[in-house]
Amino acid sequence: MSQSIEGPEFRQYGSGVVIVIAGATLALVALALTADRGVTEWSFVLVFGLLIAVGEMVQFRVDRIRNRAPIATSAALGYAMLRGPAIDDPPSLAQIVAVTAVATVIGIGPRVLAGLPWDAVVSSRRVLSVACAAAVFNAIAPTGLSWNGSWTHALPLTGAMLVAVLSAVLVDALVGAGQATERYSRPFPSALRDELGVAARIGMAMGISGILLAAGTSLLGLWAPPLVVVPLLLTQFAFRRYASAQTTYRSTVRSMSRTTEVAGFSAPGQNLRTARLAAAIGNDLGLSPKRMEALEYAALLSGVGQLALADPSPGGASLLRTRDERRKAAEIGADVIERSGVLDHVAEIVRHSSDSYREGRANNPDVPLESAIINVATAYEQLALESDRGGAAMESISLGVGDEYDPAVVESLRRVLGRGFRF
Amino acid sequence: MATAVLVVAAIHATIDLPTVTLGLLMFAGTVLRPRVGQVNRTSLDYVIVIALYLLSGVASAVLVGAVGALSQDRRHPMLKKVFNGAQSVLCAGAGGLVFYLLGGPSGDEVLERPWDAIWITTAANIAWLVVNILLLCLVLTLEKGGAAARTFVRRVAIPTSPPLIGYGLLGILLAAAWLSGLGFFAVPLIFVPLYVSRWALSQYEVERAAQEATMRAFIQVIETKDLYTRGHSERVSQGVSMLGKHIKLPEDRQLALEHAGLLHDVGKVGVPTSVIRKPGKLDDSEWDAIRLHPARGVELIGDIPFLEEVKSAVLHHHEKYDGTGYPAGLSGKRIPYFARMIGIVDAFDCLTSTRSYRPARSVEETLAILIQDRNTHFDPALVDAFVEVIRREGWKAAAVEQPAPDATVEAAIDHDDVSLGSGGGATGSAAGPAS
Repeated sequence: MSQSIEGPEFRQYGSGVVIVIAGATLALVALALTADRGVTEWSFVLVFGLLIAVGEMVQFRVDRIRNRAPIATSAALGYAMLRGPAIDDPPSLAQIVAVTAVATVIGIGPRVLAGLPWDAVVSSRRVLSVACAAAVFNAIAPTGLSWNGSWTHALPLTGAMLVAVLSAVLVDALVGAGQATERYSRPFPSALRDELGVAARIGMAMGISGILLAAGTSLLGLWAPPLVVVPLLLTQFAFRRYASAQTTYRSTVRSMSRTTEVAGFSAPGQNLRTARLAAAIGNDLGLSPKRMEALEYAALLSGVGQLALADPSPGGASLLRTRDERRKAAEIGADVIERSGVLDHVAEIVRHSSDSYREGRANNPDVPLESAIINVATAYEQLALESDRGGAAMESISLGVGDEYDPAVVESLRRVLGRGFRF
Repeated sequence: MATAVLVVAAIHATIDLPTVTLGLLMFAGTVLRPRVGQVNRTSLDYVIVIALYLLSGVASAVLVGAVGALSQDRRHPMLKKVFNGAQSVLCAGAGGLVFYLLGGPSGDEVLERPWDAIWITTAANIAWLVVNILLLCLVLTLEKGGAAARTFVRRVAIPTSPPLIGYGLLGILLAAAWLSGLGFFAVPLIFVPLYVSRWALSQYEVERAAQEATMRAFIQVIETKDLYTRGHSERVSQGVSMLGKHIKLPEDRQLALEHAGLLHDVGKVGVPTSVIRKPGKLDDSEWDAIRLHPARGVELIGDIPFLEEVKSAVLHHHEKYDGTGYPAGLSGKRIPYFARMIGIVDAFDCLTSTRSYRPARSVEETLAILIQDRNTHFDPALVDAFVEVIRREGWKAAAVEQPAPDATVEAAIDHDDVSLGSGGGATGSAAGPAS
């Protein structure tokens, strides 16, 4: 759902402010220390600073992957783990943080001027996790090691880099899970599980690119950054294309779900409201991102079967129809969705979305939880719209607990409403 | 036959020049392949070959190129396997020749002359790609003719080459990391970024295919309202696709055109079923409901980030060249290009399909009608192009399983039907002599 508003995202969330303040404080302390001690190896500072700034400038958004500037992350991690022979005096921890922070600000500048989206929280998170990686690397890699061509040096160095990157990824996942818990009211364990899932793929890929960058630059000097960055840029283009295809697909599903509204089978915005409530309940119950996506699609498309029925019901009140009719519509809708060949799991959810709890999930473990969520969300949306008063709708739902509606889902709905959910 | 000879020649040439062979890396090459799947083959192969130029010289690189071709998909016919093997060897050989002639560094020299390593391996990589493309073109020309080869170069070879040159740089890093003392442990470091990029590319394809499939499924539902128009949107998409290819649209516009063809009638979902299925002539208010469908369609697809052309085509596909169409009454070249194309194919598919009140017309008959209406209904230049395409490639008309026309049944009149008077949609010579 388009709940996240792009732009300077200081949001109303406490943790975001904490993260930005922590990042900014760390950066200022590091800047002061670096200014005091003087900067070492300017050429490396400039090249890596440029990479971080450019990476930040060309950031993009992929759904569910919050870090939008993989090149900036890889470059900063690479700079944090430089060693000889190419560099005589590896940068200090303070200098690493200072370079990362200054370059990030320089990279964001043009985006702010051009009115493009940016996110201070994400950038601050990067500064924090890079500081973490640098601290770990400096702590466990003996200073005597350098890339001198011997495996006795190369293997410990690589091992230390892996541990450093892993710690940075873990810290970032913990912070991310905390934020997801706060923003979407997800249970922390499931939020952490999802963050770690993303970190294991995307985070480690950025980390390994950082390792390549550090090792290559230590060996080949400043010839190495282009060797890593050109493939990274190409990968970023691939991701960008993927991201835009994903956006197109999601908006296609959303648009197609409006066919029932255009045809007069449902009230304007009804599908979107139902999907929004279903997503809030799904988040509350800690569904995985994959299941959340299927839930959203299923909620949007649950009314599609009505298209095949002859006449629209007035105002789209599908609650008023007989159960048989609704189940028939759900069945047809599931068949339609199945026909696309790519949304079979969504079809399964829609198929059971009009089953009552007693006929469905209570006795049949194959009925997905998502169906029960949609059943409740659809009913609440309809009732709330008719009664104009959320309380009355909740009362009606409560009457059907255990018979019509899944008790666990109704409990979750109560929590969601208690937190002030609005359509 | 020629390829078999080339394989033998290439393999002999490399065996004559034995240098250091990195058995371990060869092993890694063949072992890694099944794990990462068929899609990634080429990129892994050539990154390894490039690293080997630097690590242990040209000859062993070519040899490894041949080894790389040994484990192929068992389902491929023998000839194809032999060709693939020959192709690997020739590509690696061509790259190696360039590398050798330019005096590329090898072994520890790589770390001392990084710039030489970079530009010479890139030159070798380009040679590798050029030979690869030439060989594929040769096969395509022999199998399917020159046009297929040209399409391949335009659609596949040119767009994919720059990324392949870019990823080739990872071969240099592989060599450098190997020489740093990491040895075999350098391999996973290199392949993680490669794997991630492949994953993103494959996801892109997955998302796009999902979108296509979803649109098609929906169009089918919308078409269930009317037995006779089933498959109409798909066929219009097919028809404009043929027309678009004929006038050589660039790839993104071609795709947009196909989408526009598929979605042009999506707004019909907003027309009450009773109107669509109403037998006989429609009254004014019912006719107004039909006239609304292009705007409804745009309303529906408005949020999808299509090219703007898709939306304008959906909105204006019922405009006529002489300005008598709807909704805006645009005329001539002021009708959007895609809308003019869809208008032609839309009418064509309607006329070649059965309607409850008349049988399907033959393709030739319909083309004659289109030509007759060149200036009143349609863009004359596009009609000529479409007629040429259909005469050359033929047309698969609607399946005849639709109910046969029955003169006794008064049934709905298709809004696309240009063979009728104003009550059904349009006036035109297709309506025939007034009766």
